[in-house]
Amino acid sequence: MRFLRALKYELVKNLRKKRTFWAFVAIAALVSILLTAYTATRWNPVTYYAKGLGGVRRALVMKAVDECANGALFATLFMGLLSFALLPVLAVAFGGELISSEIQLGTLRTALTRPVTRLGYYTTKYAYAAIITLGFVLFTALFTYGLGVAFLGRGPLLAPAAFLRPSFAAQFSGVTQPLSEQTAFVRYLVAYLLVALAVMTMTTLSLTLSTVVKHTGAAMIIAISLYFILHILTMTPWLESWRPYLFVSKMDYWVPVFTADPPSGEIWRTVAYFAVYNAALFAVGLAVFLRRDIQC
Amino acid sequence: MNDAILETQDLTKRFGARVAVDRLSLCVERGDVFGFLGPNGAGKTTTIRMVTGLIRPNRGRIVVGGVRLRRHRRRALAKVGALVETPAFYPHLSALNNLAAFGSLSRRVTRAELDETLDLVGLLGRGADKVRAYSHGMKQRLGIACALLPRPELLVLDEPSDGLDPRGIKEVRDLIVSLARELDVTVFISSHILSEVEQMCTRLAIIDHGRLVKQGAIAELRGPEPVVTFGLDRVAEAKALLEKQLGLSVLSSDEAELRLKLAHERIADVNAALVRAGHRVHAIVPEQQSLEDLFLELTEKSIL
Repeated sequence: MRFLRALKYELVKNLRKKRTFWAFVAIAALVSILLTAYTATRWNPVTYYAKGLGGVRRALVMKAVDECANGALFATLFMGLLSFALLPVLAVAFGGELISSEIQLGTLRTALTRPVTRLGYYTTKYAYAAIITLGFVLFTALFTYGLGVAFLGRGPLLAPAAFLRPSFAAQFSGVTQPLSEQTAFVRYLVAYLLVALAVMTMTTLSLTLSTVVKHTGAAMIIAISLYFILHILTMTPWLESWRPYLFVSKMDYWVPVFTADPPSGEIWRTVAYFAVYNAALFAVGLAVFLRRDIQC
Repeated sequence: MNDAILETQDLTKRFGARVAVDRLSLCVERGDVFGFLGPNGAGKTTTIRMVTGLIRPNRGRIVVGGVRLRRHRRRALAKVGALVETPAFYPHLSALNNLAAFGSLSRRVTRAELDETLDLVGLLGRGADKVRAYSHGMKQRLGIACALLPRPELLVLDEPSDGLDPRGIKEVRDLIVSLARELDVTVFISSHILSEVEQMCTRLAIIDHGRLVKQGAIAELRGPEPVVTFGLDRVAEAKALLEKQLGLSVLSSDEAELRLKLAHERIADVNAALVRAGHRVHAIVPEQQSLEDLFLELTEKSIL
């Protein structure tokens, strides 16, 4: 009960911040811009990737995207972009301020003189971080899908897994199995839940950093820098052996969900991988927080 | 029976090579308004942070109402309400929501309790206002309200008058005295405004360089002897006479007077000795030693 009460006020105090409202507005604005670009020019990340493909395959991709355009396809095509660029940035912006903003305001001092354990306090923060991350992810998922359906209509989804990962696109042969509208929507939600777990790793990383630094901005900058640095490292050929250990290399593990026969074993292994990553980062952040002298 | 609400034993805190608090043993009894005095950098705030669980001592123990803080943090802190340094709140929330947010960390708080607490500090009509619109004095009051919300047995206030104008200082002082009386709460208050402590406190401790210099009831610390001011000529010679021949300790002196602690029955003897030595004594003023004198005397001794 104590935990739920504290969580309730964590939600109250954070959801009343204007920046939370603006974050949702930013998601809506970006998705609207992407829809405008898509409807006006058929621009989307898949046709962008397809430029690198050979003539016939490229033509097939363009044709498939063109002919099967609907809300489901729009939402799925832009999932990669949103889950790679937008959601991790929002996760960092909100996770990175959870402890450091309390340090900056001095409210951490007030809170920790209360009969609350540091473990309880930190866990409440983590639970809030999970809720807000899930909130951003689900809002992005539903808003993108809803807006797509509103402007482009409904229909089956041309299984676009082959489009979404460059290595899959290279194998694209033009033979794709469409998913029924209902199946596609369920798969789409499952894929976004997997995205939520990956993005949560970024939230946990920034929460951990926010226990170390005093300034809110510093935690965010370090976390986002790490995110992009790790991405660059995963693309470096001579660091190939590091790839499995760098969580950013698995940020698109949701892609196979859209294949005709999703490899559930591989997906579950990656879920476990992210769960362990989250737990480890949580443990590091907690250890720092438990030992820290509150001098603010 | 020991009726201490707060005891520290050999409390020590080091920051690197610097010892901020050095083997500090304090005892605050229930019902006290306990003043915690010391010059800037003496270790007052570090001690308060240790007592409120914000920082960990390197050595020593803290017992709140018979409960060891380190072992039973939650039980111990349930007895404490604290305002450490400047009051800190969420500026985008109302005073009521701030109180509820902090209050919820300890227990379920009803709206009636929130209103009652705001009423205690004179902010009942302003509960719905956002804290960003509050003056420093109002924030200070809200900080005290926040500390009172868990209905503590011990109220710890760190420099509660800091940054307030004279009127604000008086208001906060009156508030603390009335709270101590009406709510039957023990108050542990750190301050460097000696007159404020003198008017509020029943007992006090003085620390300097992290070490306890003295603690006890104010009257006890002052001692029975008044401070006597002698107005006279040739002060330097008179001082030498008193210190070397009569073995007295002069507290302070300037061009026209010197001050020393002296029992009432000895005033006439000292006066006679000065007159015999050819001094023209034009004034003898006995007065109770002020806290300021006591503080300066003790902290100067600790430096020496």
